[in-house]
Amino acid sequence: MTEATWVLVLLCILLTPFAAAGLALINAGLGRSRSAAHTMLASLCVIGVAALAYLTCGFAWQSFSGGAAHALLIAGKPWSWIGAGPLFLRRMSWDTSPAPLILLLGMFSVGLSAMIPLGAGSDRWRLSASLLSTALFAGFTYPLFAHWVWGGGWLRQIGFLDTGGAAVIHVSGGLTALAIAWILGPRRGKYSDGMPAAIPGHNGILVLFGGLLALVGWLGLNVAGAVLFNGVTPGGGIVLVAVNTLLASGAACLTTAAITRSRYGRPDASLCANGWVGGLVASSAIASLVNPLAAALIGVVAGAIVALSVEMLDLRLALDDPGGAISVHGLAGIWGILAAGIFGSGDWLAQTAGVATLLGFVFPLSYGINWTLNRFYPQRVAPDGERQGMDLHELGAGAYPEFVTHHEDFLSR
Amino acid sequence: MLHNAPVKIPPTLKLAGLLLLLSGWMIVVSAFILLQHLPARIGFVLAGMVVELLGLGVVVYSHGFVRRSKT
Repeated sequence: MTEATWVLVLLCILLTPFAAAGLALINAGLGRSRSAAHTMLASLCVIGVAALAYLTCGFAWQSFSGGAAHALLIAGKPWSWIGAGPLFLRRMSWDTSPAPLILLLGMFSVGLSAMIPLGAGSDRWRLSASLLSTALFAGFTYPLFAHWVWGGGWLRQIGFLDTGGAAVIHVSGGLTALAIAWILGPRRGKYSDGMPAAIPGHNGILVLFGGLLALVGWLGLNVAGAVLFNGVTPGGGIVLVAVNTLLASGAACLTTAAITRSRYGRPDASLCANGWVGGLVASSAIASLVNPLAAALIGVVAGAIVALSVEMLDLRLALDDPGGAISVHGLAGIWGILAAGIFGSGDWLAQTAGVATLLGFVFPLSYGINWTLNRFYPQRVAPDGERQGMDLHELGAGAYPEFVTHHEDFLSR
Repeated sequence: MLHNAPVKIPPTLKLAGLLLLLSGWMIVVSAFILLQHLPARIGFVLAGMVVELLGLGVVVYSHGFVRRSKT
């Protein structure tokens, strides 16, 4: 890697916190006003805990291609299954090799991934419990899977491609969000009459601005990933990644707008923002692998998946996911991974194996960890706290102290 | 719709679903590690995915069951 490429990748990685900022705004805007400050603070704390866990053991176990790793010898072939680097970044060489860039990208990525379940647990997930869950996710679940994909592990050995983190960051976070939504249960009053009650997000502007901000972060994430994990060299290849990222998100947003308009009479702003992010998530899998027309088509399907699955999860499966994290990051990400094999240069069988690993290993692992944690340290806030709002209950002050609070907000449902 | 369902919750249903998910994944992994012949590998990968989808269905059903019995 030349020094110019190294600097370019560094600059792209430094854009990725915008993706986290966008996600935090979306999660806050789609939740209730009485939990807005809690959601934003949880986002900051989650990023901090994830970075510390990654420093402690995460990067050691993720490692990087060519780095130290444990391998199992099966049928005469070594299969790398976990990194074997030193803990606490000891013996890290801070030079212009790819390793420090992979570390920095990993540190931002693990924070972004750990933030995804916050959207599903909005309005009822205790701050301390979410941080404990994050520590376990960032310290074990994420690094293990990231090693398999980005660290030269067995999935990479069989040809699985995930250059922008659709699998490593988004689907792993989205499946953890599914586990959290199931373990926490729905918000009070969501299904009290048997049918789901609509609990709209409190600030559409935050949600839509979050979508725009996320685009900046995603451009950096996809370009950096394409260079580091797919060998794209500076030049037209990088422009193609950026073009595909924008096309996928734009097409997804327009599709969601069209679907919600045809179903409800008007485009749904918050669902459109979710569709936009769903397109970004899908683009993470395909941006460096397909042509622009295919990227737009993949975005169209991602937008349709988000628009239809949000409603299906809510109505049919009684899954209360205020931020739409499961649809946006889980389902759109899975589609992107499969699309890389269908439309791009990825091996479809290896891409299918990647999806199978996410569903058959990452989800049960994540569910088991959070279920066990919930047995010893309940993750859901007490009913009084939920009625009062997470801001007042856990932080002692609301995000909008000048707002008039209506007394019925405090009545038990 | 939700409140007319039975109250009894099978405690092992969720675990069975998660084990099915894990089993399906192991079939897929085994196919890549042990099988060299491409058609056989494709067959085993698809079979593993079917087992996983079955497991996911069981987990979804078990949670729906719990939701129905709580309301």
